[in-house]
Amino acid sequence: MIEVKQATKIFSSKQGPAINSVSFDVKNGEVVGFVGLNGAGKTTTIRIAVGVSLPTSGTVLIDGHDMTTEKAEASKSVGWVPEIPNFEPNAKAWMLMRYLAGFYGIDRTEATKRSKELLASVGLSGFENRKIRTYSQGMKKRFSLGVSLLSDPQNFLLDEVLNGLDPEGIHFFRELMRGQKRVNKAILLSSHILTEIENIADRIVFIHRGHVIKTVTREELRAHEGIKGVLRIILQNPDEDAISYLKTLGGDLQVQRNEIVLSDFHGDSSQVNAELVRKGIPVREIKYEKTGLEEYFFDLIKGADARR
Amino acid sequence: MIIRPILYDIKKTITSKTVLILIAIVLLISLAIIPLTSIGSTGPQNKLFQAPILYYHDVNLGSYHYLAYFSNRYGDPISGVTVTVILQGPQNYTKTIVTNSSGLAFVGINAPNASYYVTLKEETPGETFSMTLPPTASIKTTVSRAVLALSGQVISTVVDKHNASKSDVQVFYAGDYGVVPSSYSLYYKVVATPFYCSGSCLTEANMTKLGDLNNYRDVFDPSIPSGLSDTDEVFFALFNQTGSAVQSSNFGLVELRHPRQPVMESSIASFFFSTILGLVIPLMAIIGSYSSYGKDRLTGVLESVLARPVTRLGLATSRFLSSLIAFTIASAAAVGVVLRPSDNCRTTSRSGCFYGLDLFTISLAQVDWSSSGNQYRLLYCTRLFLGPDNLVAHASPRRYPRVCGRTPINNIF
Repeated sequence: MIEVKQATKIFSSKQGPAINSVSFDVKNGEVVGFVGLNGAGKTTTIRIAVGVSLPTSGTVLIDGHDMTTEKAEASKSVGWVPEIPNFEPNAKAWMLMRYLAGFYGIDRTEATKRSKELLASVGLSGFENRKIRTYSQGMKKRFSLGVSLLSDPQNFLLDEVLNGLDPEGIHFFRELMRGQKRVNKAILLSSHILTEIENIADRIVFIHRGHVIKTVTREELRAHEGIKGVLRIILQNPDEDAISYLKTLGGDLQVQRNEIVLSDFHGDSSQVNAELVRKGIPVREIKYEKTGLEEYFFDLIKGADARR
Repeated sequence: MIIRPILYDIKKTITSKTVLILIAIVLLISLAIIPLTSIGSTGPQNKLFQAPILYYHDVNLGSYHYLAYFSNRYGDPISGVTVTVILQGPQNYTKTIVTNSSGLAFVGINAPNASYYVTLKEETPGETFSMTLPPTASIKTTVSRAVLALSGQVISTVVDKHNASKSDVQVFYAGDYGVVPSSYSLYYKVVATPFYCSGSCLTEANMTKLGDLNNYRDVFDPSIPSGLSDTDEVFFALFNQTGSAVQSSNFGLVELRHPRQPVMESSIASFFFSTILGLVIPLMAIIGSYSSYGKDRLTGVLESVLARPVTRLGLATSRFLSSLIAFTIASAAAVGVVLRPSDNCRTTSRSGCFYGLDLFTISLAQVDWSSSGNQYRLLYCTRLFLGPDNLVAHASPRRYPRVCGRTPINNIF
């Protein structure tokens, strides 16, 4: 469990605080999205939470251990994937991982074995002997993820991890987060794009100019008036059966040739797809998207700015 | 828990390009000043310095025998000197012998009793010495078993290895029929000049004993007391078992105290430490510390380590310790180049260099727990190949076949 309590960071007395009395928590088995514009204070908060930056005031508790006063103990339970991983560039991947494993008290043989296994599990099999400097940004993120898994920590802090990843990489990270959530891990996932994490986060913490401006659950977000789900289905041959089934899903149905648009849809698109297939209706394409998320986000920001 | 990271940091520090270049510079500078640091700097070490030649005539066997001993100015034996003895008389006889590892050459010529001119030739690479002695001076036709000194001094001075500002006394002598001397003792006496000796002025009773001569050659430290006048002289005499002085020599006190160019090991060390290490090691420490800590901090690499279960103080301490150990090893390598561990190890001027390389290569091999170590194995074996004479002195003899054999170096260190 990650508890951020009244965390404040002032880099320079001439400027305002980078974050100011930021408080939220991430419970075990929960994925919390941490959303804000560039410069909102997401990375500053996460760096304090993993112990690489010290708060000016406030605390971060990791499984009850204060990251400032009990850093060694608190860090054991934290896996951190930074936005831009920065490792010793001239070190070979598996050797560096083994070196870092030494800090967790993992013995040499076990560290060697685990390093190679983890590198393989994050898709870097065959690249173990290459130096970090030869890695692409995506590979560095995978390596960083592998390092964060070294001690099988209870808590993960993922900072803009989906940035710069190819679709396969994004899918990989999403699946990994789902897997970790299933085993009751606490995950904080930051992003400046709400739509990117809306469908994976259980709760979303919005931060703007160093302040937490709102925290909503996924259900609250979906129930918001301005946010609608749109399901677009392209059928090979839209017949009466298909139309009548889709009408039962609720919402506003529009048919244009073989494309059917179902507005205000809040169901599971994969279940719709499965049902259509079960009915023997060939589906050429099915796509679910949310509208109004960014508007909601911008409204929050405007409201916060107006209150200042 | 944090030991392995420290080892990794040591390796990282010592194998960083900048530090390796600086270590190479230190080693090269050290190698360059080896001739200065050697006590033999006042002259080539293998230059022939003493060549006493002893002679006896064994009438019963009808043979003439010559014993030669060659050393450098420190009394260290020189092997491989070619000694040729030519007897010119009714018939000519020539015999050539090369000095053994003890610097000794035994030349025996079977020739009838007659008057001969004796020509003695000594040859080493780049140096030849020859002299011819007339019959009256060289060959006794009478029955003789006691040795005579034909050339050079039986009692001579050599430079002290530990302190070049003083001299030791070297004695080269043989018993009857050229056997290893026994029951011979060296005595000395300090006298004020002018010194007039009449009768039995040099006896065991009025001289001070320095030691017994139990080999063909030996070196004695006279330990001349202080407070004497520079004009004083020291008489040395070699007595046989009957108390008779068989050889004697005298040297000025100045010669015993201040030979040639006084060079102290300590002054060389002082020069080395203050000038070479004093400049390069701090430079190396600054650059190395920057590369192991400052650079990582500036570039943000340190954060990837700081995110592990380690405190800031713990991380800074581990990096500091690793740098300290790395530079201690590097400094030891450089010091080893210049300062030899013992005189016994100094068989050639390369010894110190190899001693330094020993430390350096072993240290590299020790920290290289992860790679195959082939590069260090190659370096180590090359060094052994170049200086096998140092193997016994500096390295464990067991290591040679194992390191250079098939056993992985990782299992050795």
